[in-house]
Amino acid sequence: MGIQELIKYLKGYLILRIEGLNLEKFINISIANGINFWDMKRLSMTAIELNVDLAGYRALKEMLRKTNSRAYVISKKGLPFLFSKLKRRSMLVIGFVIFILLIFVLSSFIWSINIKGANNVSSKEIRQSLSEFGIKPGTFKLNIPVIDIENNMLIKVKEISWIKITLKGTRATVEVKERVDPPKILPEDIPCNIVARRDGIIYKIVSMKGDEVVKEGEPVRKGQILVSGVIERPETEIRYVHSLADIEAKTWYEEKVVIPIKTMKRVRTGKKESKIYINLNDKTLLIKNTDVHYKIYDKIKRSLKLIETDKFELPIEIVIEDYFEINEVESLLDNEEAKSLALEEIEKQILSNMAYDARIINKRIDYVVKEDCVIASALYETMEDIGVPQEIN
Amino acid sequence: MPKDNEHIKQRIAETLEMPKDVVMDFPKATIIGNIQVNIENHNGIIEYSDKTIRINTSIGVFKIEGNKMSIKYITLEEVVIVGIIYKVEILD
Repeated sequence: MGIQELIKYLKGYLILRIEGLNLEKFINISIANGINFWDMKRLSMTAIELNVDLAGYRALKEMLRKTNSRAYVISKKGLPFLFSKLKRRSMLVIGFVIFILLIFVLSSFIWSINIKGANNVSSKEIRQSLSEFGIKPGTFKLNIPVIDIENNMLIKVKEISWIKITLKGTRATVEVKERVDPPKILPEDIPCNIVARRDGIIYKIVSMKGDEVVKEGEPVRKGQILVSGVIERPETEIRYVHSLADIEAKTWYEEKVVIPIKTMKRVRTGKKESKIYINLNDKTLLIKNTDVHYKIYDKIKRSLKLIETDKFELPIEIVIEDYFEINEVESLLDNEEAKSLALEEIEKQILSNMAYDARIINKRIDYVVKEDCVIASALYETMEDIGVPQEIN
Repeated sequence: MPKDNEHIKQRIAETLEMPKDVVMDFPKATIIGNIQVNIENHNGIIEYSDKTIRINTSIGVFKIEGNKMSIKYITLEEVVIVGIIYKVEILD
């Protein structure tokens, strides 16, 4: 039935009310002339409702005249009528065509660039290089030589080892892999000394190549030569070697932290003002503005992207700025609290300074409690390899 | 009252096992449950209301009685009546 309905719709048909005294005769004459009716309903003695196709309707006039009947159009259905309606509303059709074209044209530009995998390389730099090679918001995307740009990017941006550009919808996704530089190792054929990288007391020194300059138990300063690659022996020429040694030294890490007993606590009073505006690229349009007259406040900014999908992102965002009024309340820490805070802080600082291979062998933390603050000083004794190679000039 | 040549036609149809409605120009009525009657090879409508429909054919008048009947579609060859059918009668 579906196909027949579709054909009827494509050809166009009308629902008519026929009024006359001899409707049976009208029907018989009509079908004898090849006009087909369907969904016929008797309305009254003198009226029927029926459906007839467009071609049949045109031929119907003669039958109506012959049988003295009249036809009233109840409704017109189908494509031909839709077309004639649209002909009268040409601007609607033009608008629709423009709309389709606009979407088609706008969607063939790149509107946003997503960079994935850039942790140490600044994505700003990648963006800039991309725009030099022709990928930037607003570029027509159909004739972008993606492979060429990928290759050029690899040459230009030294920090990346792999790049993949995918154009998906209006978004260009750029995936990069950063180059991991191998640690700088002095080649073994280049003669070198071993110097101290920080102050310490030599605990153990075993040299495999080169002459030891310091002894166990001897304090050394940063930069001091520990093993020399210059080998002088009586009655032979001076030789230069690539020094190699196993050195362990005792080192110290010192840190001092001051924790004030009196602290200001920020408490929200519950009062709030907000500003709302629309961000379109770099332009802003204020919707709701308020004068913030709070002395101290927290500003919290939220932004809502209207449409953001994998393929598409509208460059419009709604920004809501909330201003919360703040009351500062004084609060006093007791000694124990201040000490534990100080300890936490001090450990964090020392561990961030310490060499990765350092081993803690002893730690001492002293607290000095004053009127308004607690001062904590820590001394960590550690064991580490302080030798680093240094080329001989 | 079949004429001579109709008689011959009927004999031929029987011997050749051809469908009689095709050879003899007979009407063919198909009743589907009590909701639909199809009549092929009709000669026009004599009466049409939602209770009674009379259809002219070469062998007489088909009178269909029922309730809420309507003509689903009508062409020169076939008429399809839907509704609740009570009775189909052939009147000479």
